[in-house]
Amino acid sequence: MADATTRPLPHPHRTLRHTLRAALPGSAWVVLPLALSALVFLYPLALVLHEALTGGGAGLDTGPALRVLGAHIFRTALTNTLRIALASTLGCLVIGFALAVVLSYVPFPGRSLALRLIETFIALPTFLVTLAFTFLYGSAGIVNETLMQATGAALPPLDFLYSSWGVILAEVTVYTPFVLRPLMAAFSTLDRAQIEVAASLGARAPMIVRRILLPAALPALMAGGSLCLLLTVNEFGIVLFIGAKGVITLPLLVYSKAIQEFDYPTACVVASANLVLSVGLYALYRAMVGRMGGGHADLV
Amino acid sequence: MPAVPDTTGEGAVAAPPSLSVSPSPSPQGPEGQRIHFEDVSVRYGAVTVLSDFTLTVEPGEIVALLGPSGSGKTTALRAVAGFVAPTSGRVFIGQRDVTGIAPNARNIGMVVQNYALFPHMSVAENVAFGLRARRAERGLVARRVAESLALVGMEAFAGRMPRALSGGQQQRVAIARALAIRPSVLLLDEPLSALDAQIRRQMVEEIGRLHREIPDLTILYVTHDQHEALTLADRIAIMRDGKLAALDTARALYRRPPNRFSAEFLGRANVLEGRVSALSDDGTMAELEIGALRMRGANPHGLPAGARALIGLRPHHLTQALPHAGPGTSGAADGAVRIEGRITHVDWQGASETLTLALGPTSGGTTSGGTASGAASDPATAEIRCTAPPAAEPHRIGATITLHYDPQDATVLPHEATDG
Ligand SMILES: Nc1ncnc2c1ncn2[C@@H]1O[C@H](COP(=O)(O)OP(=O)(O)OP(=O)(O)O)[C@@H](O)[C@H]1O
Ligand SMILES: [Mg+2]
Repeated sequence: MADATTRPLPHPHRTLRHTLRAALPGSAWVVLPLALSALVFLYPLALVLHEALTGGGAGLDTGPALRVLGAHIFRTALTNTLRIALASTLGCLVIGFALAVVLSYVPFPGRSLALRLIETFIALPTFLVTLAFTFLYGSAGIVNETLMQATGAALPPLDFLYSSWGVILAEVTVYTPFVLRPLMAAFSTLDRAQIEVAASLGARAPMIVRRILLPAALPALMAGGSLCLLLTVNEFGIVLFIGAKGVITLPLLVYSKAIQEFDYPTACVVASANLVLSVGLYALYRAMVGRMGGGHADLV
Repeated sequence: MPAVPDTTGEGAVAAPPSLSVSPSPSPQGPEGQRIHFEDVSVRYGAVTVLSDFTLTVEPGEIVALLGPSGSGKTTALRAVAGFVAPTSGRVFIGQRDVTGIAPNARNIGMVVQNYALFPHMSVAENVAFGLRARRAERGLVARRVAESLALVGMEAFAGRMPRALSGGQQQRVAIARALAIRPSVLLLDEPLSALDAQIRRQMVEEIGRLHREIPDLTILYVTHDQHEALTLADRIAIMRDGKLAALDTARALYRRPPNRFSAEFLGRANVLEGRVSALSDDGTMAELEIGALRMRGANPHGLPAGARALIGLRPHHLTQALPHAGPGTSGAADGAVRIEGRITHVDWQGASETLTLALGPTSGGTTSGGTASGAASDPATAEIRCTAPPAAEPHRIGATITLHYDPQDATVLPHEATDG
């Protein structure tokens, strides 16, 4: 190519591209797909927002929206959502960190099998874990049956599954791998000599975890944690499957208003609130991943 | 930590309850302690990485573990630090058997090749780490950090983060961090190999100075750089395939290598193979018959006449003479050995040059008499290297030159049947 005297042969793709470029103005190649995706994704979204802000009538009317946002049920759903999401995320972080430390640094037989198993959790549908939990801890589950037979109790002694604790437990189980993965990646890049030097300087395991591993894991914890928060705020399947009576979250509220009560305006308001929450958390997540630096962004 | 009996023979100094953090009487550090390997073997499955390794590093001594890659140097060092559990044998620090003791209870300073500074801590926090682990009180920590940083000339960098330091500076901090706990022994695993040549020379000098300031500190220094070993070490242990191949003072090992491997590994000696043809009256000197060639050398092993043997000779002990007129006359009057060789290769290195010479008669291999022993080096094909200041006129390949050496500089070594 550097030789100016040899004329490059017309490349087939190049020619095609040139032909197409000639046929359409350059900007069309950007605008067209954007317009298409806008039609498919943004238009329904806009409809939801529009519905939320007009209350089903014509013209801007924030009255109904404010009424929904002020309603007791919305407040409850919002606090439930945040409480469950925060608790689950915290659980994921704690358990994920502990698991990552053990899996990375404590040699035990079957370690690679355990790793493989935890990895597959990411691929499982969320309701499957919930279903398994129902079989285990549900009122007719194995644990309760056994306990009832053993103690002769008339009522199932374990009923945490049908409270927010059940939801949190299921969400922690489902989402811990999402924290575990970036953590394992972070630990795999940590120089083992650091840990050895720390040990030879007299540090015991807790100090090594606190002063060496935790700082090294911090970016992964932040990124994994905000991803967890994002996913748990929007979690629907688990909450629905557990069927805990008192546990109404925002996605569940949207579902019950829209599908069960045909109250679309209210559903749209709640959905919009959920959307704002999600977008906010997503921004947080991107910021966290960004702070991990370009080289590490692909770990998450 | 149990009280450690004094091993230096300078009177019983009762070890304070917490030896490592209490201000010791000498500003430099605690009494040096010996490192003792007793028949240590390390096996991974079927692979023996360290085999019946026995070595004592005396208190205050620097011993360099020198050997080619994979010879087990790091493994030996890690057995002292506690990161490798010996399959058999025991490791002592001082009088204390540390074989089964956790790394964090061994009171060891360790410096590794890539420094392994803690990236989230400042230089001062890095140096303070070991003291914090020992729950030293704040004043002592501050004092020790300042002292240790001063020792390596890094006082000005206390507030810096490790990533803002050069490689040499990072290694200084790593050394300060290891010394801050006043370890009984210091383990260095190729501490300078990640640095470029110039900084490395400077750091070798600094480690030497450091040891003069802390003469009690026992140092085990792993390296594959013979210059570092020769400069720093009181004694050098040469390792080969997980075994101790040689152990002696740096000078003795250089002057009289005990075997072919040490002769070649330390200082790249020329080694030729032949048979002992004559001995001096007291047997301290031997003459080797190498084909038609006769070479004399010291006979520290007392090899008898007729024995198959090797002769080791350092390239710089061969001095060059101009091609001279008449054959048959001895080149030097003081008993120097004269050999002739044909230049086959010249390797110019600036301050010196290394000539590779084919030995034997000028006309090449054809006229050399048949060698009496099949095992002897054939002088027609035997090569010898000679290092000297560069000649004013460039050497001509194929030219024949005469070399001399003092037979005291050559060492006759036992023949090794298994040797490659
Ligand atoms: N965990 C292990 N499992 C199996 N083999 C090992 C293990 N650790 C080390 N080895 C082997 O032990 C031998 C000695 O290793 P070691 O690291 O002690 O060599 P070294 O002398 O320090 O070499 P280098 O100069 O390259 O650092 C090598 O052949 C290495 O492959
Ligand atoms: Mg090594």
